[in-house]
Amino acid sequence: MCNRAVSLIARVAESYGMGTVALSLNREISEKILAPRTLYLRFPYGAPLGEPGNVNQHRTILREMFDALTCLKEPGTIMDLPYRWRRDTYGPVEFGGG
Amino acid sequence: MNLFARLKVWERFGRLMNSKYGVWFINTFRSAVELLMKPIAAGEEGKAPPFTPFTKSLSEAKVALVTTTGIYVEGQEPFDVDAALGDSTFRAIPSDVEVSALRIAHTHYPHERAEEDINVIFPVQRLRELVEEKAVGGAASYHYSFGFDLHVKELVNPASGTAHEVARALKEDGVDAVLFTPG
Repeated sequence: MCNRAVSLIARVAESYGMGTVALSLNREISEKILAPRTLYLRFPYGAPLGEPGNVNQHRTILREMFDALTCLKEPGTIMDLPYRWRRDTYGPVEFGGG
Repeated sequence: MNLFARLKVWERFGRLMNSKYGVWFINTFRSAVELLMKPIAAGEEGKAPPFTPFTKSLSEAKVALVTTTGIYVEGQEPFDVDAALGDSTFRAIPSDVEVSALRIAHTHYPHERAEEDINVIFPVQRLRELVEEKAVGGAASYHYSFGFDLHVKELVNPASGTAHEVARALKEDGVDAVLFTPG
């Protein structure tokens, strides 16, 4: 349900001329109502950015979101992110100033 | 053997449901359910989403967070978690909020991880760090939070919908990009 509201609100924000990126934890719901740009993660509910305190993991997901903002050009794209919950190790992420 | 089994109730019921009367009953029941659900469906399924190409450099962009995880600031009214169809109001969260003052009113996802570190659902501190590093131009004055909500038709109503209210406020604040997180 949260994923559905995310798609709906993202569509409205985008229609006001802002770029939006939505994380999704439920691909099936996100497919029904497409947000302008969606990143699907196989992470548990209640933790779309990753584990508590894992700053590198949070930054990795944020980096993906900002990349999606500029790279995804097709409205309604759902990109599957390859990260696994705990089995991946997340290194420091440098943001090169956009 | 009890009466229920002796009358072969399930066998009769199965036979009835396989007959043309049963098919009629199921079809009518299904249309009734669809009719009842119509007022709360947003009518957006299958529609192509709007699209605004993002051309600004991230180091010059103003970024906002919007989450549907039911967070609010201590002192604000919590979301109504008892309403059958949910709560379509929103809370404005100042971007310099003290994270220890954030609370959650939402009953449809586990809160343990977010209670330990709010950034896993609402990366407000991570965004602040990126602004300090000058990787991101700035954070919006306010971020926004929604609760669990099934009034989706009302949410996106152009005249009164809270999604429009939030989008207008973000636009007025000069926001270029919005990051959305579910629960």
